[in-house]
Amino acid sequence: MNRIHKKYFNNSGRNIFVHLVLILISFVMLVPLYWLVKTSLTGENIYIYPPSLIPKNPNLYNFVDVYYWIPFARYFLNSTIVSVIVVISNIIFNSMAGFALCRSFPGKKAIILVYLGSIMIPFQTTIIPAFLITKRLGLLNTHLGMALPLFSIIICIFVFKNSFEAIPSSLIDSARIDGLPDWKMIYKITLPLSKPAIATNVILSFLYSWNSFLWPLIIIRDRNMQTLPLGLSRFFSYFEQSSGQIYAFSILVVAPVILVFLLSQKSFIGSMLSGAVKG
Amino acid sequence: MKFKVNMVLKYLKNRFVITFLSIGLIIGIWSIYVQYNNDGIITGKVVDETGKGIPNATVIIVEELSGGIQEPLTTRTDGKGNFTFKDIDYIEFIISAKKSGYTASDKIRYHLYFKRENFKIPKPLVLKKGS
Repeated sequence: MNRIHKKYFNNSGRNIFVHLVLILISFVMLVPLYWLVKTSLTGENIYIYPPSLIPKNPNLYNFVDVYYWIPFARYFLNSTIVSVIVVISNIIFNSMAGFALCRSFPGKKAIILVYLGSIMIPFQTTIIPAFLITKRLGLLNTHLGMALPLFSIIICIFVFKNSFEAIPSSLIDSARIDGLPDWKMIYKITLPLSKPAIATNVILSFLYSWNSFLWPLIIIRDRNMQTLPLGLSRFFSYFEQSSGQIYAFSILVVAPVILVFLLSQKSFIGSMLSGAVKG
Repeated sequence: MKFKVNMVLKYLKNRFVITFLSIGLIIGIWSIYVQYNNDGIITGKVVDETGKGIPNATVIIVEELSGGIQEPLTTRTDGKGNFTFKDIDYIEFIISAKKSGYTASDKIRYHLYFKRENFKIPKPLVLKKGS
């Protein structure tokens, strides 16, 4: 066996070991999710000892209970409407802001600093002014009101900015010479070339909006306008924390987020990596 | 024409389209199934230890909610021991049977997949001879 072969086998042995460790870690990471699914299907008490790994008599009755105990379809619709508004507004506003930040103009650095600084301000501290603004706009108890504070997520502006900066400026210049207005440049040139950035915007804004609890709790008075996280907290008052219905509800809340991520993950990871190799 | 077919095929292969079409299809099939099986009819049979149907036995059905037990509904078995409840909109219920000269049957809990589901009790309710 020559040196090259020896090296290959040594490396492959190491690779197998690394992969085994990674598989083990993956299993450990997936255990809570597995337990969530298992409990939702069996309704077994999670504190039972010894714990059973394989679900016994799995059924979907806990999901049925979720549907009938609370207006789940209504909550789901509310969450979906709010999330769609948030995702669309984020793509529109963030792409415009990202496009502007790629250009040179006086005060650009100050604006970027203000943006970055505002990331550090927790939402809880801005709740009162946000509430007053929303009230004055007459948007309390509405889907639009729930979506309003998430209309533009600052981190997503920088995702678009990074993506737009990778587009050759000659392309933008030639479009400008052809007389294309700025909004058309965004819509026709930069956005179609920034699919990973769009995917990142979709995932992040959807995630923030879908999991948003505090803001809807404050501005929603009507039960029919509640979203899934509010419904989940209400559901806790009906069932014990260890009951299968709670886990079924949790799965129904988490499933759309996982689905959106799985569908967009290729572009999302591409977008995350694109920033990593920039000088 | 060929161009349009190719475009449609291209969109059908898109993972977003496949996922949401599949979800829509499952919901559609489930809705059709519910539409054809939502008369609220619950049927079953009351038998003795030998498996022979018991006529004129009283069958009691009661909705179970975690908030407490509700008002029970009753019916009687026909000549062959079969019984039918109509317009039942329970999602979870307890069913049992009784007849004088027999000991009451076990109370059995069943859970349905939707309200007003037509349901056939899988195991007959067994009454044993004795008071």
